[in-house]
Amino acid sequence: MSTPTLPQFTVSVYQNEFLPEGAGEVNAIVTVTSSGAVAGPTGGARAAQVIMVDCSGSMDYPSAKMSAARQATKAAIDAIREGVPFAVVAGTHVARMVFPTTEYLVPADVSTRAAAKAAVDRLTAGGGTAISQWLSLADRLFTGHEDAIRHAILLTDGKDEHESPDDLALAIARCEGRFTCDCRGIGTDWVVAELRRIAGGLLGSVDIVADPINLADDFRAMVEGAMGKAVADVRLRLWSPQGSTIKFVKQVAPTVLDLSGRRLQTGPLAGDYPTGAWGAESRDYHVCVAVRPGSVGDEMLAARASLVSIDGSGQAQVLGQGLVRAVWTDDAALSTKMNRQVAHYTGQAELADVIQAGLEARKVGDYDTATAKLGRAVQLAAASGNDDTTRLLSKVVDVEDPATGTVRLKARVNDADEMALDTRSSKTVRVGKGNSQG
Amino acid sequence: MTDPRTQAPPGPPDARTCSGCGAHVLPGDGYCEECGTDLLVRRNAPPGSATLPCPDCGGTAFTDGYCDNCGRLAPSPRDRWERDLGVVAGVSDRGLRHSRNEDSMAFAVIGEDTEYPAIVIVVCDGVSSSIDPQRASQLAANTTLDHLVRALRQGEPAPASTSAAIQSAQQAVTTLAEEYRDRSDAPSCTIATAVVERGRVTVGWVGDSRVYWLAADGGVSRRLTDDDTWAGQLIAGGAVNEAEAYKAPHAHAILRWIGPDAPPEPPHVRDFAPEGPGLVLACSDGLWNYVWDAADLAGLAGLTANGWSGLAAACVSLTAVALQGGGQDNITTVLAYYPPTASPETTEIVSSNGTAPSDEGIEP
Repeated sequence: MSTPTLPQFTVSVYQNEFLPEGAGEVNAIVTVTSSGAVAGPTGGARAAQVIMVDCSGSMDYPSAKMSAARQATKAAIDAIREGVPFAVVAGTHVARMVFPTTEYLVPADVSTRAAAKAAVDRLTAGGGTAISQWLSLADRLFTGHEDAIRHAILLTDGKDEHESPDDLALAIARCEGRFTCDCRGIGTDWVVAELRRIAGGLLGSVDIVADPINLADDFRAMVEGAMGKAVADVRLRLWSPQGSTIKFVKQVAPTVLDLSGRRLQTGPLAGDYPTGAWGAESRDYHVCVAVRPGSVGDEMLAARASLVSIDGSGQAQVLGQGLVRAVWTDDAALSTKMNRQVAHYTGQAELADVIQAGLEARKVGDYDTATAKLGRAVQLAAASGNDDTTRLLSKVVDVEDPATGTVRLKARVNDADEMALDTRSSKTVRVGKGNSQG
Repeated sequence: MTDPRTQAPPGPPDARTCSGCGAHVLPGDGYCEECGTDLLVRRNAPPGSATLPCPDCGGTAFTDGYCDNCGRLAPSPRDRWERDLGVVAGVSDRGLRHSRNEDSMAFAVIGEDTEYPAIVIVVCDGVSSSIDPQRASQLAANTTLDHLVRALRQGEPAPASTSAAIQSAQQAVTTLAEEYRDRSDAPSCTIATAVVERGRVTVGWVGDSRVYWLAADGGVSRRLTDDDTWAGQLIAGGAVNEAEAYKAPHAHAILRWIGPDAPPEPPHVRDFAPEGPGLVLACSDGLWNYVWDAADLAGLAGLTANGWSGLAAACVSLTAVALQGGGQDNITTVLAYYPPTASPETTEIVSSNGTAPSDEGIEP
């Protein structure tokens, strides 16, 4: 098998580098675009796939959930590329192999796909929910496949109730960097925060599948997305000067994901933030660095943002790089200008925060806070053209004036609508490019 | 490039060596027989390329032009460079408020021991709103000087040569823009040139860098260029005086420049016949923003009773005036003698207690 060519990465930095005398906070949006796999005779990079299906007792209430899960898993199996090792796991209060029956991954071909689908057809519901068990089994299955792009799908319909939150947190921490995991909640009895924690730690997506009928398409799309990944273990490496502090590093598009706590120190002045696997896609990161304040006329490199790929032997290869600068000036016309990208994504991150805070307040009966937060969310979503979020918000609040964020909480809200808003609160929209001088 | 006159040539007193290859050349040779170097032309050395330690932390390792330790912009030999060819000298300084020196200067002396000596000066000021403006200014200065020297050595007249030289710089800087993703902020600069010959000073310009005539012997000093700015147009039209014109908020915005998408008009070229001895000053706006009056500049250059200590020292003094005034911009100052020789007639232009112009380089 020949090594596929690494995709082309381009890194662009959007910032206003001009600071007034005495200021030391530098904000920049780092946009990373990857060309995706360069198609070769082997059909792309090596991959490995695990599908975790919730088979707890509640999946039979209604029974449409269990049958949708079976259909979706079969659709996912069909989407796995020829030769890619895979397995299907049934999740309850324990994790059980569905296909193959022993703990290893089997390369996909006509007969293994048929056998796997037959096994999936025999799945029945019964038992509890202990997701840490499922994750641990997936982790064991990926052992030995470290040079492949490792992807998992996790489907659940309920709360992780047969273990302590600490068990789950520990399992997530152990799996960080081992594989990426897209999480889906079916129905409305699962907990958004739990799945968000798993997806956040394992750098995957999270979404609600309110109507089981859509599940097969969603599963197929997730597997196809994973098969389209060209490079695994890509990290955002930030160098920043002596005396500086990285205040935060957040992915801000396509979704908000705070990476600040995920830093892995790689040198006295450099650290890596995991970004998972990349196909043909573009992501934006908001980097905020506090540097020693300078005097007018000074110029400093506030951060060097590199995308690095870690190969099987642990060697880093730089895929692209951008510079975040600081230039001190006494020209207020320069230093007071807010960069459009930075302003936009600061707003999008606040939008995600206020939606989550507003829904939380609503849940505990603090309607004043809920109204204020969700009102602010309506205002931010409208101003930034985030139409999907605007639509989701309108199912939770009655909007009187989007410009001022004047809203009333709806008396009755469909659970699925509320969960959809919560789940998708971190989805952002992009702003038109072309103002690097900000 | 070393100044051949600062080094004692080996062998008999009338023997000379080629500055390009070291071969012996005869006094009457125009070009070196060995390597073809033009023996009648001396040019200023470009900014050095030495790596200096970081002024903030002492670090000596730099990546992407920044200190590997504290992130400070790497100190550049361009931050301040001084060059002296005796009959023409210049200082280019970063100033106090900009992080880089985006100005460039280039000058040459042609046929100084011949009947038709000439001095060629080019000053370029990088446009700060473009990326890497110092690349444009250095490229434009070098290209223009090369073109002018070649044309003058071939006997072409200074005015036509000036126009063609500036257009060759425009082409070179436009080609440079191909290296940049966004043409609209690719490197750009202004340009001002002067060719000083016996009987004539020819100036050329695009943008707001200037050339002045500074008269000795109580003659009338004057500005020889008109800025390509809103204010410059008003002043040239006689509508307002300089102090008033430059008070307007966008007065300094330049209307023409050297770079991609520059307005297509030909460069301005003008010539001037001095009535007596004096100095030709070419400078960037980092100097004239502080002192724009020609008579004041003549006084500050030392053309009054304060004592004359040479062109290089006069450039240093003028630069110091701009630095003391606040050094808001990069400051480039180039001075040349008129007539363009280091003969007794030029030394007479200065006050009686002055000294003759120096041959000694002041390169750091």
